[in-house]
Amino acid sequence: MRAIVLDKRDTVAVSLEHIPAGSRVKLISEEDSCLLALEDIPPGHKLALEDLPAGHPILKYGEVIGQSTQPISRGQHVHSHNLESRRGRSDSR
Amino acid sequence: MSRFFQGYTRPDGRVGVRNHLLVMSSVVCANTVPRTLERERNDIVSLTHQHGCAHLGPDREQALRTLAGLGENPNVGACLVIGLGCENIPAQEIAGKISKTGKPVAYLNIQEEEGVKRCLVRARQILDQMQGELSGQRRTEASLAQLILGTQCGGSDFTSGIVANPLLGLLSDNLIAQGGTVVLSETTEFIGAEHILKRRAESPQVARDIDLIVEAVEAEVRRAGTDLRGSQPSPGNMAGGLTTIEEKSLGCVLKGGSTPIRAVKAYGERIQGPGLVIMDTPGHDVESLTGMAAGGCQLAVFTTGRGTPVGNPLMPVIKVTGNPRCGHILRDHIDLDLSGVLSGEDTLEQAEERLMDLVLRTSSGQLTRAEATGTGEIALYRLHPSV
Repeated sequence: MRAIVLDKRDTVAVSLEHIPAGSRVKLISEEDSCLLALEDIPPGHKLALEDLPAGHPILKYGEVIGQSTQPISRGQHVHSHNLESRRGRSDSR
Repeated sequence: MSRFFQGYTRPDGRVGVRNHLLVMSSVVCANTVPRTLERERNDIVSLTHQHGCAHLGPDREQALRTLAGLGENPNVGACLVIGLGCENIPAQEIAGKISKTGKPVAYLNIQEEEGVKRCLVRARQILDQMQGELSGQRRTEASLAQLILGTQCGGSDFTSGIVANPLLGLLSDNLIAQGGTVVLSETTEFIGAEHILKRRAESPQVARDIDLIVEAVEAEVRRAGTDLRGSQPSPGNMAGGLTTIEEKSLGCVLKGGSTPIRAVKAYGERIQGPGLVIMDTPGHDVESLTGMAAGGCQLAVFTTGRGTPVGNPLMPVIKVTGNPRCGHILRDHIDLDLSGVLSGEDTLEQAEERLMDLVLRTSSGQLTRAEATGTGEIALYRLHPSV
């Protein structure tokens, strides 16, 4: 199972295939490493590279792509259920 | 290494990659005439639309600029504009603007011609004569410096920001290094990434213009009393792994490459190169492509993750994907499948050479999948509803 880390500052990796929960995931990046997928990850979706609290910026491409809405553990699926945008919002944030 | 293509040199010095005979409505009420002509002949491009009347101020200016710009595009060899005779954006005004390019232009109004049938009789005569002139024209050698390339992404997914858009960015840099021009569009898809673009703005004014067009999109969302999250990213983007607009935008802006941004143009405004230019278009693929065609782009490269058949009737749209599933399932609509980069079989540099080669061949006459399957649409981006 493989996932790609686009920038060394990133807090998420992008899966290159469907990753079943419990799989060992090889991280394609400058340094070879592995992590354990705690949940099913659909192809192209993100998984967390580290534990993060709620309200924390999430980084991909070395840039902020939004913030966590709940605590996230390393190896968990990161998507609309626990990551939200900071822009274009109707509430003032 | 200088690269060349074979194109049609127009009286105004611009070079077209196609030699279209265009029939266009100035107003929705006149659509029957171009549509009928399109059914009768296979040697024209017929453009009809839903607009042309009841436009408010700046919206009228934008629609006029866009419709005239489509006729002015160097891919159009000659143009006939069909109007009704009483509309807000008269056929005569559109034709007058197009005629400044020096190409053959004519206009007819249904009311002046005494109805659709008699208008068709006159239109056929005019088109036959224009076709006679066009058929004698030949392609001649032109340099890449003559190309204005539109860039677009649609049906994006996780592969767009990892393969297809970075690849298009390499092509953009390459084309610009050879004196060409590249257009980056879809302002909505700068949200969250505009700081990256502003860093490369050629001047403080350009950086300010980028801020202004992005703020205008966010203001429109606020004005509608809603949230961008309901519309962007799209459901398909999200299923394909893009969770937020910031994430989508960071992948989208990679299409423009790494060179300085020279100017920010309004929707449908004439583009002047060389270098990288932003056009303010919405994140609506067909409206965006239409705006770039009106600005003078001779062709476009369109990256996709999920796949889409969308093309443009005047402008070849080269469809590129980095998603192997899309490359197979929508193979009828994909010109270049780059999923080898995702699997590591190909490098981005090797893929860029293939794409540049395809750009040259397309510019010299090779049809894209969209042209071969006849999938081309126009749509006008409106500033205000009709009044």
